[in-house]
Amino acid sequence: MRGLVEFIAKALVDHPEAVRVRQVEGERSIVIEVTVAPDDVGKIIGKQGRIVNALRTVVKAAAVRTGKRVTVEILQ
Amino acid sequence: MRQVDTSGRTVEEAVDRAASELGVDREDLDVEILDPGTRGMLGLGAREARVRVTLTGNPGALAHTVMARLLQEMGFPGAVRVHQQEDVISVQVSGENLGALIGRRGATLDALQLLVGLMVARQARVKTRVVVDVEGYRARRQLALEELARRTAERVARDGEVELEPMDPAERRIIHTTLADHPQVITFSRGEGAARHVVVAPKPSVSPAETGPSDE
Repeated sequence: MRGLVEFIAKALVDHPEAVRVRQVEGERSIVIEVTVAPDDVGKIIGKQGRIVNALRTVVKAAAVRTGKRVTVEILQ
Repeated sequence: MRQVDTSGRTVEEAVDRAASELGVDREDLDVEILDPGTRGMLGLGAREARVRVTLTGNPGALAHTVMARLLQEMGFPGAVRVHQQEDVISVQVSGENLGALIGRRGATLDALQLLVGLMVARQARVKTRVVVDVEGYRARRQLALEELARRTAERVARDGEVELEPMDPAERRIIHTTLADHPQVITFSRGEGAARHVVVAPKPSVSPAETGPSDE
């Protein structure tokens, strides 16, 4: 799941080298925390969260088989 | 065209790093060696190799690479085909058990389409429209909507105005387009945001200015 988020995030921003993705795995849930360069935050969130919501939808589809709840947070 | 600078112990390693950073194959990169680096002597004077890579390849090839990598990362084995027609790149995914890639009313498909479109646009630095379809879902949905439009028009001609379910802009456009030349009905959209939907109404004999068919 981490690889998926990292791949998408790096392809969306101007500074892929600054992208950090951390995965915190619990028993029933997975939290994925994404950090990007300050001037890339808008590029990964999008107007009204359009881009980050699409990212969440795609991650959710990929997470179905893990049986865990996955949340994606953009840290700022 | 997108560029990144990377470094590594050798030029090879620096190029590999750049390719994985951009999520593309090495063949899609143009490499300029900024500094070939040196291993140094007895651990002294070693310097890392530095390269500047530029993404080459056309947007269609890039869309293919991006979609294939997404499927791999998501754990859905599927075949990807890309057709490029003028400024529209059509990405078709086929395989078994890909329902999760479509999602409820195509929600996951729309999310994939948005992301692939952005990833291609940001990396190729070109303006193109990317359409993603999985197992012909969009094509089937279009046929179903055209059929719905025609049946609704018949009902409206007989019984009067009908409001359809809320739809996204692309779906509403299919209804409007299908009925654009219909002799007995007009269509327009009503409502805001997620509740926006198409209304099919009888064509007024003397058409008042405010009820013309809406262009989205």
